[in-house]
Amino acid sequence: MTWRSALSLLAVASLAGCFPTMRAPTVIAVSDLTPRAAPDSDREPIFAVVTDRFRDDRSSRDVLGRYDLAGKGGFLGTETIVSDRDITGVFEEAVKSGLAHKGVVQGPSPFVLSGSIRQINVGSAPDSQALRAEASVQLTVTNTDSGSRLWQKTYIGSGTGADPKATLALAFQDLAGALDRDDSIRALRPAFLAAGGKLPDASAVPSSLLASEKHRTVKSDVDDVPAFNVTPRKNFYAIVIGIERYRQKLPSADFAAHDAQTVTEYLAKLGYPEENVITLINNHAAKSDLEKYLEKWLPSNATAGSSVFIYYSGHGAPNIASGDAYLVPYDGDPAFIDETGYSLNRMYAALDKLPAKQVIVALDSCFSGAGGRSVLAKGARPLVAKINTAAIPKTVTVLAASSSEQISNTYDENGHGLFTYFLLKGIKTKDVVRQDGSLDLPALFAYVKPQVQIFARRKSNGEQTPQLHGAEQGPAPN
Amino acid sequence: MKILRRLSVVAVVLAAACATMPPVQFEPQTPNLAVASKRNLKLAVVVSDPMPYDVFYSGQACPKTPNRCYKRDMTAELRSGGFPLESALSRVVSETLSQAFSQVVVVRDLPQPGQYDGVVTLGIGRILNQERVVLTGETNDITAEWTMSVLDKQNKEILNTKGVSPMHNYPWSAFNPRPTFVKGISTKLSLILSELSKEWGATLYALDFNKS
Repeated sequence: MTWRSALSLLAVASLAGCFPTMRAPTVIAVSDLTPRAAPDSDREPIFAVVTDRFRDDRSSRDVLGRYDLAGKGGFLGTETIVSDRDITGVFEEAVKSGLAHKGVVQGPSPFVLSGSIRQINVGSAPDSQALRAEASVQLTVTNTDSGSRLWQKTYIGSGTGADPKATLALAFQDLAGALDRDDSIRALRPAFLAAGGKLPDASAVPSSLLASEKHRTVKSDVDDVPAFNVTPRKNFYAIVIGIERYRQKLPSADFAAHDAQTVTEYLAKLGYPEENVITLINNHAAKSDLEKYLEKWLPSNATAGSSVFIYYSGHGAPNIASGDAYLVPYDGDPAFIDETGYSLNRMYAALDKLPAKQVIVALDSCFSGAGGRSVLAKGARPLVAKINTAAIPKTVTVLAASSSEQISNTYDENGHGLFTYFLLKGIKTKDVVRQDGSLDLPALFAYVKPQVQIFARRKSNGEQTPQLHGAEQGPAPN
Repeated sequence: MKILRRLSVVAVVLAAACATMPPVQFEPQTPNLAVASKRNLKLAVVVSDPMPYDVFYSGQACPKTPNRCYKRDMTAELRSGGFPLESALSRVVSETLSQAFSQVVVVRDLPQPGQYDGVVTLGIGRILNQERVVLTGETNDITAEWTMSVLDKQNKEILNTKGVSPMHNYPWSAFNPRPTFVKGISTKLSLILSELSKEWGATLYALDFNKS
């Protein structure tokens, strides 16, 4: 190394400052963003908004946080610390949650709330060994009838700490706190009423609009996610889908979003790398999202040694003529299910092409045609179809919530689908998790099936018999 | 003796490294819009404070060799040392636009529809310092990304645009990195604010605020 190059390196070092050592890349979770408001701070709904997809308007998706002194080349070890591929979804959920505390609910409205992610930074603060993080979002409410922009605010949160993730989480919580403290959006209620919006009190709010709030008041034993003694596996992939609210006027699939969120948390503890788990909830689970991730993302990532887990909680619908079963995406319409639904056959065909060594599909949906949509009992998830088990490839194992003539129930007291609740409880309490993070499916099924049957009879005087089909075969399909 | 001299130089550099980042001071010159007469319009200019910008330093290897690219997010340390971008932007924009419009008010939040003939929301995004090694030493190319949205009297959007400022260059010394860095940012970003104010002013002066 020449004298001049050494000096140059020192100069870079000096510009870099006296920075602390940082740890591994991380991902920001919704829980890091959600305002920690007391339960009694929940307010009566004052008006509704339709939330548009937030835009990621950052100049770069890099969020830097690591300056690796030991790295080859001295100071060339800068590392991205936020690897979340859908940070907009995280912001959206956090903002929705924060606004719900103010009485601003999701629902039919002339008002549209849009968001623009402006900045996420982590940098070292001078004169200390601390990090300082900032996160900001600009929110806008527009009256779609008039086109007028009624309200716009930019919120910035900041935090100081030593660990990048914890520091960034503090910034996000500060951001959520800023949103919580600012009541200016409530001043839009008169404009909402003047624009013809109708939402006089909580009793008038359709349950589907408040569905996402339900789980916040129901705490279940399976929501405390245990730690499993497993080794993280880089080649574990999962797609988790939970659709509770639909763009069309379909009944709410109660707790489906909460199901998906909790399953995601379990997968993290089972050794699935966070960047390998795609969680699609409500409006993030449109048909194009399902196509994109099931037919493009998964084949691009899964390899011969991979394990793949697909979870779906939400509605389904049949093609009456063909009997084919369809998952109903967020933008699905049962009246045009061929065009707007995502068929199980299509999904199985896509999964069959994967080189993965293991593919598991868990479906918490109804498989009943009895009565159709109009006469379904409250809490049922009406997937009106008969499973064509012949279409299930040999490499795929399917865990279904019920048999083809039954409906799937929810477990309201625990805030989950009945099948999902016992699936998670089995994973949590029974010895079904192997050292490598994979599941002993026959053993898990042996626990889930009778539990669901018993509770379904007790709860609704009905029958619900979970099914296990395919590679890790249980009984013959119904 | 030679080793001692080298060590003393290293000590000076390291001392500079751990020194506090001096405050950045912006003094943008108000540009002359050279308009014949003011338009009889009442404008609100929204400049949020704090503004969600970031300041990045990018090493000379970026972006040609990403695997050997040194990048640094300097937002936190510059903000904590004093980085009065919002006030400087507010002042220079207010003074510039006042040459072209009968009334200009800088506000922090979006006003209600009907209060002004037009509402202009300005934002600075990434301020990028791109290192470049030249024969005579190290220099940084500095640019600033910007956004501008314009609403009419009823707060309906009539323009939404963004861009990157002209690039300016400042030298910095390996022997005195922080002061030269801060001096470079102070002078060149001041210049950029002046240039952007002129560009925005010219755009707004020509804009039809009733076109929606």
